[in-house]
Amino acid sequence: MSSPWYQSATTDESQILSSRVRLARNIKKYNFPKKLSPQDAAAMVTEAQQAAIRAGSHRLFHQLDINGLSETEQKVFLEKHITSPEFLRGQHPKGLLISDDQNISVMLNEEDHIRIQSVQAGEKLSEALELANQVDDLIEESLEFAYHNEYGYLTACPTNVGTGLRASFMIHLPCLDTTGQLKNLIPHITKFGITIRGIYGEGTQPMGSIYQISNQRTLGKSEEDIIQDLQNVTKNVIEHENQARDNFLKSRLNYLEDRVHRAYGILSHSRMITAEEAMHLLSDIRLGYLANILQKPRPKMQIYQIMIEIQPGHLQRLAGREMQNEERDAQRAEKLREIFS
Amino acid sequence: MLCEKCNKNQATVHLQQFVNGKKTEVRLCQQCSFSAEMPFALENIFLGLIDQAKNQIHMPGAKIPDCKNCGMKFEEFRTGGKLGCNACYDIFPRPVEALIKNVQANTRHVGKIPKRAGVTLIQKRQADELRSRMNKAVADENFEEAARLRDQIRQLEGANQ
Repeated sequence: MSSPWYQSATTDESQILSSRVRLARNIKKYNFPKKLSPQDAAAMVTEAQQAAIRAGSHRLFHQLDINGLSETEQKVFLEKHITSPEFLRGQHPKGLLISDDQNISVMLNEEDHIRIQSVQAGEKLSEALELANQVDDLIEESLEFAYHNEYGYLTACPTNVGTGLRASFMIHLPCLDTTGQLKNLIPHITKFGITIRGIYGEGTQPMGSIYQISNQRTLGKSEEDIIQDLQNVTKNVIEHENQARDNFLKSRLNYLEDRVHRAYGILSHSRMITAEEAMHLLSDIRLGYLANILQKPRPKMQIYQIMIEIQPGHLQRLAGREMQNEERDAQRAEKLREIFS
Repeated sequence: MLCEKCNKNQATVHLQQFVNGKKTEVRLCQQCSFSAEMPFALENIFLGLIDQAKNQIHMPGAKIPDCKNCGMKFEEFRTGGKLGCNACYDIFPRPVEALIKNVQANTRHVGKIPKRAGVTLIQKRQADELRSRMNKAVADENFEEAARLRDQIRQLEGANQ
């Protein structure tokens, strides 16, 4: 496979790490997954798989046997945001297709029959939408989607109905996190039908000050307007982050410098480190580079890529076996020492 | 008071959420306050909204019929928030509408239309747009423009039949 999106050199330059678009679609003739018999589910998955493969022929879709994936491989997909936790949890037959560059994936029989996902590094939401739209159009050439004159694309949950579009940015907000100001911003953000949550989506803890900001409303606004609104709100949040950072630099430079250099010290010398602590310290280092207070040479890898690759699944894949917590923490520390010293 | 999510720690954060003017409140401990966020609060709104809609059209306690197509029960939708098939949207129209009105920007889709199912829909939307432009032209006493638009509408709708 060629390089995935998160290795792109652009991810370290701004607070926006990645742009993601998800389209939810259902095939007209089948019940939604919740009321789909195992036989029908298998038929639906096969049909959708064929349609997606036809659609992706120009992008070399890899079809994965999701039921044959080891636990480690499943974790890796989750950590890379290629699949959702819900997708892996269910019992029914499932399908998963991933494009060669991992920018596009199609999950079959998740909450909806078809979920097309497109990811780009940096601030490229329109590009991500365009790509997802192309795949959507091509899949539709061989399938008829459930569509309602008034409600648009029908989805299992009425919160996704209409466009079926969930657009999101992954953003890094270390200063708003430190000052606790992010909590104050949340009511203003939700007023625009936009929600903000932890790095691994619904109900997850924020780690390394990384957040997912996404549209909550999917109906009544065009795809372009949804994206525009999300861009505007995100821009505003980032302005607050920059302001908080400037305040830190002005009034508490010592504190910030100490924090960033301590992070560097620990990451380059520790012998055991949990994912949570490492994420926190990597966030500090990322802030150090962004604010120009860390003069150490930049690691070859983007910080965000390091963040993904020190997650348990990635470490286990690297080691080629399952590991207990302690062993994993040691492995993680070793990998980080290699990167930072 | 104890945190409403974990029921273990003392609640120290008072989270308020406004969706289209509707306010919901939860009291959480520090630890849960971040992980809680919207989905947690939203589920509570769902239940409230669906119940409200149910009571508007049915006597309290009256039974709403199951979906004939997929067998989905109202109670299942009420607690799970998910529908079983396309037909459910029409079987539970009021609760669905109430939910949509409260969580969505509008009740009418204005975005992408599937090419296959939507050829006539696309034409209809174009005709609607032309019609509103025609009405505006008439109001502005720009009859030449109005006549031109009328012809365009006729052409579109003629192609449709």
